[in-house]
Amino acid sequence: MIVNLWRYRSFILRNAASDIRYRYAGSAAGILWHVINPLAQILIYTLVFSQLMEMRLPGSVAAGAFALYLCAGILPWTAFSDCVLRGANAFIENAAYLKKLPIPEQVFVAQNAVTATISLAVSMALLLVVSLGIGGVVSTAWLGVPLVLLLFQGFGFGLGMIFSTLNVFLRDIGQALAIILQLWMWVTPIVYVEQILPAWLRALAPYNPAYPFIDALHRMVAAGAWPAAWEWPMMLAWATVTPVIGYLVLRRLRPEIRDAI
Amino acid sequence: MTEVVVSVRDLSKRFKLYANPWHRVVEWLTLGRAIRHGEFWALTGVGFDVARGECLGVIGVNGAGKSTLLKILSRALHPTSGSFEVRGRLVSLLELGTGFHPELTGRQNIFQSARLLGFSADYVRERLPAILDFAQVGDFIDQPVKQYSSGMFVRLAFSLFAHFEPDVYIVDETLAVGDVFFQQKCFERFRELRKRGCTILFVSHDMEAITHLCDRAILLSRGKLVAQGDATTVVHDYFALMGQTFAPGTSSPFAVTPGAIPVADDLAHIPAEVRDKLEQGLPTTAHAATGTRATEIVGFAVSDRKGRLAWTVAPEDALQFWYLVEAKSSIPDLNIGIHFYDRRGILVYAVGSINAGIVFPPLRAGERILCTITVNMAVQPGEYTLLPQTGGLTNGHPEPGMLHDRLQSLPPIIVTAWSGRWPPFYGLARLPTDIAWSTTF
Repeated sequence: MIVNLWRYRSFILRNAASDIRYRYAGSAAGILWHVINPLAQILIYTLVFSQLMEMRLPGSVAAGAFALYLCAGILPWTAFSDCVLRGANAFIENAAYLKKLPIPEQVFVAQNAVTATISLAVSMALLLVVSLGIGGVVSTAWLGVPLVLLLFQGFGFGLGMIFSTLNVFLRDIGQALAIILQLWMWVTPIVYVEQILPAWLRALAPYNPAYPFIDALHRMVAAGAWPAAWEWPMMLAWATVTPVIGYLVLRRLRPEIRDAI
Repeated sequence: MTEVVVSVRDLSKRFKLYANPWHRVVEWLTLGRAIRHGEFWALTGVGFDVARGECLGVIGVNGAGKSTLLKILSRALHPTSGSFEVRGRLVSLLELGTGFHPELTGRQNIFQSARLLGFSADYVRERLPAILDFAQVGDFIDQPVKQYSSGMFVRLAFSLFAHFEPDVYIVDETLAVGDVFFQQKCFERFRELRKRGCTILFVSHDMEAITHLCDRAILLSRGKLVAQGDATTVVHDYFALMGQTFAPGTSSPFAVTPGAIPVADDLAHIPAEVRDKLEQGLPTTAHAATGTRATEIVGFAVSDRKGRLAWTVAPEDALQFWYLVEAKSSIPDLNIGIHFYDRRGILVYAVGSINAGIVFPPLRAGERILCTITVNMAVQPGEYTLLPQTGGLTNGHPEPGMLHDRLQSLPPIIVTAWSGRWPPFYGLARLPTDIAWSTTF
């Protein structure tokens, strides 16, 4: 799998780049929308939650802290969710290629993951700028952010791999996933702080595969601290195990994908 | 001596047909113990070799498995069993324009497609002038391809593929697009590529192109390889197979009371199988709805010169069309004729008894007449639709004439391939020709 992805790296990168370039094709601002959109999102959160609703993180009085906390979770989650959902449709959307070209299937899931990751990189860079601007806690822990984001996207890519294959045979999966991801987002402390959860739910949190990623990001972006020690191996595990499972599923069903698509 | 570039061994492809997607899940959950699918074998046990520099024609009727075979060779489908080997790089024209992004310019698309097929940017840069020259899209090369006419789109796509030089090419019927000059350029380009050692697999329904371009051919029928060898021979087999496929059915809902057939003096001997066929009658659906039915074709048969029923004929050989016509009222001026149309729907030839100067005796209601029209099929190999008809005169003239009856939906007549080294002529049909010469002018 890795070999094939590497062999098609130029195709993946170019296609991801053209996805980005042409997502807003025909609009006057064009590629600028990739900056305008996340920036507007960040500013709206900051304004609404810190200024209007006056939400504060527990034990903090800083006005922008909650907005940073929110963005640190929701921006990566959006990219992750893109990875999974759009990834699940990657084979179906690219049926025209798969039916005619000997191109390895996983290339399309990877292309989608790269696109989502590039967008995410832009939004997170903006978040860093905003954080500096509103006096958030910016410490050396920010250096760990790219790594955690990569692991999170790797996890998303893995899930995308698994579901893209299954979705070819059972189109209901793509539909069900949209709902499942919504639910998943709400059971993960992204738009709320985990302290508001009842104790028994908080105890279950570490079993939520998304939790270590989100918590690590919260620590680094909103608190200026490094992720907890237990979170690293968890993140690493999810980011490697799911692509492997995805690959095994693909390998098992590969001969039939192009027949069924 | 000859190096085998493509070798296919006992290749089979099965498609699983599921009535419902959940049936597949049932199979997964029971680890395949519960079978919930039907099977369709698109290919069974196909095997052949292609040598370097050879051009192999792949022919067969629609659904014979041609596309499946080529998709397997281009690795877009996985075979169910058997093996194949392609030495070197393979590019398939099935993919013509597949990789084109409508928002990208022609130039950007050239590079994009190259990446898709695994050719480097430098490789393309080297060939860019030749590609542009061949495609003739002019300044449009820097416009998004969504603004191209479909002709330009195909020309660009084809030029692109024609200038990559893989070891094996799969060429599809895509050549049928573009004007005749562009097509000629394409054929020229293929000959050139072959000289350089490119192997070509050529799929087409155009038997003329197959015999011109290919050395050898394989014939697929219902997923099986039924013939392989010299292209001309295999094309003959194809037409023979078509003839069988289209052999007129023997069941007939419309029975004619067998009776004495009034026979013109020179038709004294009617071959037995022709007589049987004529007496068998015709299904009611065979008659066109238009027409006055003042006379009706109640029996129709086609035979070769020797009086054997036939739907295929060698070019320049004759077919005899037998009509059994019954008058439904008094007819003083019967005209019996036939039309031939080629695959593109062009009228190749039409003739009637009046054109030929034949005047039938006046017929009274209920009287029958047997007539044969013998036509020398000096036309290009291929399928020809025929429309036998009867009619009368309008004010003593055959034009426009009064249509009485016309037989439609007959199977096409098949003219098989030329056997000689040169086709005896080009164009639709042979016109009576004399060639004289002298060295003392």
